[in-house]
Amino acid sequence: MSAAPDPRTPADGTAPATAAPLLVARGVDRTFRLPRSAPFSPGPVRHAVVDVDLDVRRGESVALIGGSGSGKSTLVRALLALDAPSARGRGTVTFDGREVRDGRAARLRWFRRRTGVVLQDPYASLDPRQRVGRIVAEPLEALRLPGDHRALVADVLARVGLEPDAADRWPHQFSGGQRQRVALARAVVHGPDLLVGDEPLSALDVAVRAQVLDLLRELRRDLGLTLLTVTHDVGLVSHLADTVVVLDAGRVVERGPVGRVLRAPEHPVTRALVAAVPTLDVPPAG
Amino acid sequence: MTLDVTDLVVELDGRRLLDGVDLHVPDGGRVGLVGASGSGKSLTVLAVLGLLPEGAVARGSVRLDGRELLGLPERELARVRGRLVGTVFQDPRSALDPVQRVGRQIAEPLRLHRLAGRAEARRRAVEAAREVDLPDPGTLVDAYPHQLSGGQRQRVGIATALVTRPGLVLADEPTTALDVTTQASVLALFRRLVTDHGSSLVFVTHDLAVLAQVATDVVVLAHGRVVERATVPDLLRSPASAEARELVAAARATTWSAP
Amino acid sequence: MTVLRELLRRPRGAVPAAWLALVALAALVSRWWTPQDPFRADPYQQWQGPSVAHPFGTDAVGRDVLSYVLAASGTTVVVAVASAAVAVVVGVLLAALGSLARRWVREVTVVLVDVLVAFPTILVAMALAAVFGGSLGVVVVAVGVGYGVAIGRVGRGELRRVATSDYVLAGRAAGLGAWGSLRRHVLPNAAPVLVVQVSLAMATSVLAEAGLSFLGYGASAATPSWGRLLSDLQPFLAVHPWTVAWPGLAITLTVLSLNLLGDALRDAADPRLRTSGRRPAERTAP
Repeated sequence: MSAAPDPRTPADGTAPATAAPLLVARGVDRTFRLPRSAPFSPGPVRHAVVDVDLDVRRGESVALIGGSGSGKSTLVRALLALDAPSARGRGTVTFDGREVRDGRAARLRWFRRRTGVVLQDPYASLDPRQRVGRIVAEPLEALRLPGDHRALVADVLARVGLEPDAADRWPHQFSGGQRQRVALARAVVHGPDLLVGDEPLSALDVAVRAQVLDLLRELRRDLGLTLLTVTHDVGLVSHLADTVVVLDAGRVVERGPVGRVLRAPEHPVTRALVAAVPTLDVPPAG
Repeated sequence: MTLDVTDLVVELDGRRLLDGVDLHVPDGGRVGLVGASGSGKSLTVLAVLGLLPEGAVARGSVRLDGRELLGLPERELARVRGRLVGTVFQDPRSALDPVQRVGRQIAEPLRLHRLAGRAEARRRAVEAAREVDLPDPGTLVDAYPHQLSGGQRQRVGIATALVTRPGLVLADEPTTALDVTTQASVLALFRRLVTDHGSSLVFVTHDLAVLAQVATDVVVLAHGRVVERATVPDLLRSPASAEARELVAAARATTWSAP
Repeated sequence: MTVLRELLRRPRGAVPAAWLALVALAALVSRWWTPQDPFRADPYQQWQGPSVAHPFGTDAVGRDVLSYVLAASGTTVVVAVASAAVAVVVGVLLAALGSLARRWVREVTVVLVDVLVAFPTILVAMALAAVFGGSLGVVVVAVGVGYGVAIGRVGRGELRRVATSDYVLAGRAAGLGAWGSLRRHVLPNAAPVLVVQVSLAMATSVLAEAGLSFLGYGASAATPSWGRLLSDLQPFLAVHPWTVAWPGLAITLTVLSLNLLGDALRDAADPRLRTSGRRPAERTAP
């Protein structure tokens, strides 16, 4: 639904310069120790993210792009304080002026309240042993939010285009696209400010992808969300983001408004990514 | 090699999964088979190979260079598969045997069809690995699948499909599980190899943008039926059927066109 | 509960459940009443065939076989439950140590478990009986520890599989802490596999008790036991082949039922295998 342009996102793809920063990351570094080859030597170390700075302004839609192994998933987990237990690193992350310190779940509650996450694989991100209603209500229960949970769940399920009786069904009764809608519902049911997606559309069929993309844009508009999306699909980025940050081997190699980066990429890695996008233009014969 | 599928019907448990599919691939042609999930595109590939699920019944005609494949006894079909028809599947992780070295898997069709002895097969496997742009092919053929990246594994799959120089290559969503840069180079690989070897190609995908990179003609399937047939530029410019319009619109909505 | 309903809906769940319920009932009732005194030997009633007074007949010393079999069911139940309890305690401890503790503890646990798993349980029971003298306690300890180790190993695998799944990550992102995650996601998903292991432990304990008692290492003469009865009847097998059917059948049916029940319970608990589910109408967006 490409209706009237959103006043927050001017047509040329730049975010309004006056918007306040919502998520600020400085000097983020993450390394992993790999399994050792000899019993007593420490294993080799993999630098997944190296000295990354990032700013996401309120209302903006930022896309984090890069090939596989570029560190984008690790970075996003670091930003969300969802690191894997084996990750080691440094750096500060600030959300709305308050520092996000990794620690026990109770200390992070304020942060979890204001963020929502959608993961890549709709077949793995929903607990197969829970009904959809309970899955979507998880943030409400985990954060012990007041209010009528059932009503909130029914409301958000309608918002993502699912029937109200979906809450009583099991995940395996839904298709991939529908499951991703459930995941989106879970990610926004508690009214977060920031919605983070880790390749949220990659596992979907193109036709379904287009529909869920529309839904994402709709949710952004209706709920006033700020978006941070990780993706390797550069073609998608032009339809979803205002700003693009390009990662390669754990470092930021380029950033800028999406229009400019795609039309005139500067860094060779960005150029390669843009050139690799399958477009609807047919290549010359042969 | 030409492929002529005429009025192919596949039924399973009383349901018609394919309802009269017609598909014609000229010698050296590159035809894309596109449709939403469940439209029957993968099933068509399986029907050509004679690899339909247990209990499925196929009727109609599938001719490879004029020779009828439908109804051939399994032994004859096994001689066609891998030798005259090469297949590339979607998932690079599960299509390779994790306990066999990669070179051996590439060489397998040659050994199976008695086209080469051990030494010769290994030489051709290394050559095939080189052709698909795998780095350091002489050493890489001794690696195990888990030591390679997803993109490299998919290239191994392609090498395996092409090592016998088949006249027809069937590719079922071969780039869906790959990231964008790997996908681009694998698609370029398909274009080049198919032209170099003179093979015909049937390329199955749900993504028109991917298909545009590789095929000249496209057949659109929906609910087990062919709903449209066109050249790629014509389909992109003016799709006639509702399904094709939806696929083109979805492709436009999710990809980007260089100005 | 729906799990119970699902279990009883299928024959392969209902039939074993029915037999085991019967055994449990016999065990309970026989504590207070049996048709005759199981130990009362009546030399004038040796080797009687089935009759109203002795539905299963009598044995070499004139004991009522039915009463003895009923009384022995109590032994069987106690041994099975005690072994399962020991197995669960040992197994959960090892699984937890193997997946949640510090690195060196985890690694030592894994090696320990791998070594212990290699020992065949019944042989261990015999070895223990040789050292400590035969008793039911030996059976319980041997089977309990033997299966505890197997549960530990399987449990660790399941814990790791579930702990690294996307839906657990989504739960963390929604604000769940470690305990919340355990309760809501990890246990319900890891438990079913363990249920099978526990039922196998019980099956093995019944077999082990019968076998050891048969050999004279298990239950003492004062404790009624199916295995012991088999051992008493065995010298006369050529002359009175039918009496042995009763304890033999009891053992076979019980072991078989425990094996089958475990599988059936695991399937009954899986929402994906519900027999009453139906797909939602595809009216909504895909």
